[in-house]
Amino acid sequence: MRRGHCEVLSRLCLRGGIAGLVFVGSLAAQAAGIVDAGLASEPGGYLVTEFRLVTPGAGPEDCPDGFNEGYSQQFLAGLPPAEREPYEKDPRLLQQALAPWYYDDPAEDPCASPAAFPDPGMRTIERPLTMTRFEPDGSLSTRELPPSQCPTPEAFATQVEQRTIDNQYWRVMGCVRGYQANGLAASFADSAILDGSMTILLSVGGAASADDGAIDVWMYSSHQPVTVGTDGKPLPFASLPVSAESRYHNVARGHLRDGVLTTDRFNLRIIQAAQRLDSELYLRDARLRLELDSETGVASGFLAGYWDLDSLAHAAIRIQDRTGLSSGKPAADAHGYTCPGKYYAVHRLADGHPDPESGHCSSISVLYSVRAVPAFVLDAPKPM
Amino acid sequence: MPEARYRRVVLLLCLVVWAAGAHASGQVSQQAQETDAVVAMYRLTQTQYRQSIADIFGDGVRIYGRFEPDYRRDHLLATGSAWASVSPSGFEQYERMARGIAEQVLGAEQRARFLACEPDAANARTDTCIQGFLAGYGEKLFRRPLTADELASRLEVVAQVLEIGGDVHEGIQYALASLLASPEFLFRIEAVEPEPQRPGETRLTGYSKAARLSFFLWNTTPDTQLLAAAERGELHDPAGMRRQVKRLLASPRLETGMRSLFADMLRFDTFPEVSKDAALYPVLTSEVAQAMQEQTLQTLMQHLLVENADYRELFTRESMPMDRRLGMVYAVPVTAPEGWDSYRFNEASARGGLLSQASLLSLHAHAGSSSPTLRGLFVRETFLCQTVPPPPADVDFTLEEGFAVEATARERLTRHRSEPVCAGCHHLMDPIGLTLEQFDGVGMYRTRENGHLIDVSGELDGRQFSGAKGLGQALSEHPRVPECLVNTVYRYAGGPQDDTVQGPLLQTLNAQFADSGYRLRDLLRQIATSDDFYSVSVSDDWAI
Repeated sequence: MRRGHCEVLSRLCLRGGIAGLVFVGSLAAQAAGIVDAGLASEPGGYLVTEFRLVTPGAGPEDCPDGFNEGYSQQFLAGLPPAEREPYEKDPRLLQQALAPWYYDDPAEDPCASPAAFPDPGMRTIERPLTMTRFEPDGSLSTRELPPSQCPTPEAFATQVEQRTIDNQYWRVMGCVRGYQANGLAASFADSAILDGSMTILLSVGGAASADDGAIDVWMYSSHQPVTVGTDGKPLPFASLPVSAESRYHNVARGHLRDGVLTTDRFNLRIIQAAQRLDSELYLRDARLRLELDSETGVASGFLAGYWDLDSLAHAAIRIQDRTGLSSGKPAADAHGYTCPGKYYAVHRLADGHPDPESGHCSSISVLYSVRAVPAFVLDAPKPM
Repeated sequence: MPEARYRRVVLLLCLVVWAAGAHASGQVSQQAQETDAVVAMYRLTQTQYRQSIADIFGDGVRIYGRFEPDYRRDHLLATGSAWASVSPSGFEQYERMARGIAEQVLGAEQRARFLACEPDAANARTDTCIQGFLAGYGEKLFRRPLTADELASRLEVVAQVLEIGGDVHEGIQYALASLLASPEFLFRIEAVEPEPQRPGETRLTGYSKAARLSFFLWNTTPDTQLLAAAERGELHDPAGMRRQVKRLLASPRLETGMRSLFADMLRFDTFPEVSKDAALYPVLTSEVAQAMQEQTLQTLMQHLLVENADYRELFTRESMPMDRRLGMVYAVPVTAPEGWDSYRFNEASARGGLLSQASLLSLHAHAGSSSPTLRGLFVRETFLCQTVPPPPADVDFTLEEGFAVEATARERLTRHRSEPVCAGCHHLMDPIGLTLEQFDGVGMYRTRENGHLIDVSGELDGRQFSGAKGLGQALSEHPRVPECLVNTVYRYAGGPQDDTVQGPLLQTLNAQFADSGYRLRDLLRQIATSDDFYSVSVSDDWAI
């Protein structure tokens, strides 16, 4: 732990007279001199301002057969050049030809019911990749590794704590045009946070009674939209209440060393919403690693975990809204893949939580980059 | 009648009424060589105009048009209003607003609220319904009853609109518009009359006293009760005046008036001109800027009116209203999801007192940085009523470029003051403003500037201290601070500027303010009930 943090922690405990109860959420901000010292007794936390899938971009050899094609591309590719031209000139004609985007009967919708359709095949990255992974000791590595495999139920149960959390989801989406560096996904990065659809809070602190000095790290959803400043970014020091729904109160055992916060494994469930999407992100055996910048008060790092495939299908394939309609097909077409193709690909590359009976993995490793600014987390449950 | 021609004729009518009104005033004033003479004219400020219209016609009436800019003199818009005139283009705007208001008042949708009787188009010049409407609203707008000429000229407007093909409601509408565009409404005109007890001397008319009192305490036109008291002559009687002052001070509308006073004193009218670097200060949205002003005004109202606390303690007050928007400026938690909460800064906090509020810190700073000089100047002028000369005409601004290499404002300003031409004035301002340097250009807390620790030591008139709290303590104990408030409130109220009256009166008011424990309510009462406050010195030049 940095000296500044130790000093502030000691002061908090002594002055507040609340031994054993510490709040380090705003420590970096205090150390940076951007929060008035007189406010130190207030609970602190963070507002997540960036929450992005780590999509390193496909290298020249990663997708030897090229990128996947969406419904529009497949339709156009099937036409003789002369017939293709009017559709390329007028996107409305193309939309009409591919209608309906929204099906009255979900059984007819390849995105609402991808498992009901045959696997059209999806190009994924199969070769060894050098990319960021989350190591068992909380560090990050960039070793070149082949695709992670689905372990046996026994192996997963006994070795999960020693397992590197890969980013197999990138292998699924790596050969998708919309997931490249300048693709649609990048251009919409954090838009759900900025437009108020998705607010994620972090609260670092809690009971420090454990002998090893472990602290509680809470991660919440909030129904309160972020406030965006004149620079177009969420403002720090907002007062934001956590969701009243306890399913979105996630707690992990954390460790703060040398300005780096890491957590042990925890299951994470937060609201995942964007545009028409109204869903949840459910990561199992997730881990968080954040570096707390003593100059700016900003926390930045990664969240790794295993994305439950049912949750993934709801949020990232069916893309269901509150009415139950699927927005999956236009989304798939905009990015450049098919829903059944993605559905079967995530199952094929899934590498976590094998089903004891079938042996098939029910989750896939994924990595998010996270950035958070100091905030005041309100209505949080009492520290345990 | 074609619409265009109709509009031209009506416009001409309005102008005729304006001219007739001015002429009528002249006639009255000629008589007033012996009776009423105009001694002062104050153009209504934008706020006064809006509040007057809202009070007379209700909040639902909207005002369309652009106001003549208010004019600040001796640090107050209220003082400047005595020097403001109406330009030709400004009159066009006032005339446009007048027509807009009249259209709403007498339009089919709202007419029944204002015109309870059925006007008789056949006898427009004599109809009691029309006369009653114009006389009633005329008195509210002119803050005195209309003269017979003034009423007759408006009845003539109604009759002529009927003659050129308009209906009776349109006629009343244009007559009302002519009242609204009259100098008697746009200006608060003070007149004197002979003093019956002291032959050869004059006194403000009862209606002029009513208006002076009402605009002082409520910043709006006198209400019906005050006009009635003026009509009965009660405002010339000390007991009658005390009754009205007590009533006005007890009214919730006092807050409206005091908000206007302090918004004027703190120059909040300049907030719309505040421009900040969006990249450096992303927190300062227009909503936040509005909330900053509201926070300060709420603080003042809570401290001075609700708690009736010592004015000097404003500079050391630890609590202030806070909402979630401002919580992001102050970096404090705000539990109330909507509206305002009270937040108390504790002893360890660097923040405390009025001067550490973001409104004042933002207003007196540069677009991309704080400004100890501007903040110091503001403190000198506003809370100590001192005058700091403007920079000399031959000031060498290239010196600034050389100073820019210094990391902190203190270092830059120390070099600045090493220039003899700068030192003379900067030593009056910078040592004050440097104590507020832990607050950036929008009032957010910081301990470093360009990576260097900020030194917040400073000095005020020989007293050494540190930080915003030290400055607040020094000001709360500075003898000129309460005197300056007395002076400011007195000037805002429009008290006589004649030294022979003002000097002794201010001396008395200062003593009374101290005796009252520096309570604003007492100061307001003492000014408003003072005979000298309503005294006038009539010059022949004033009569029109």
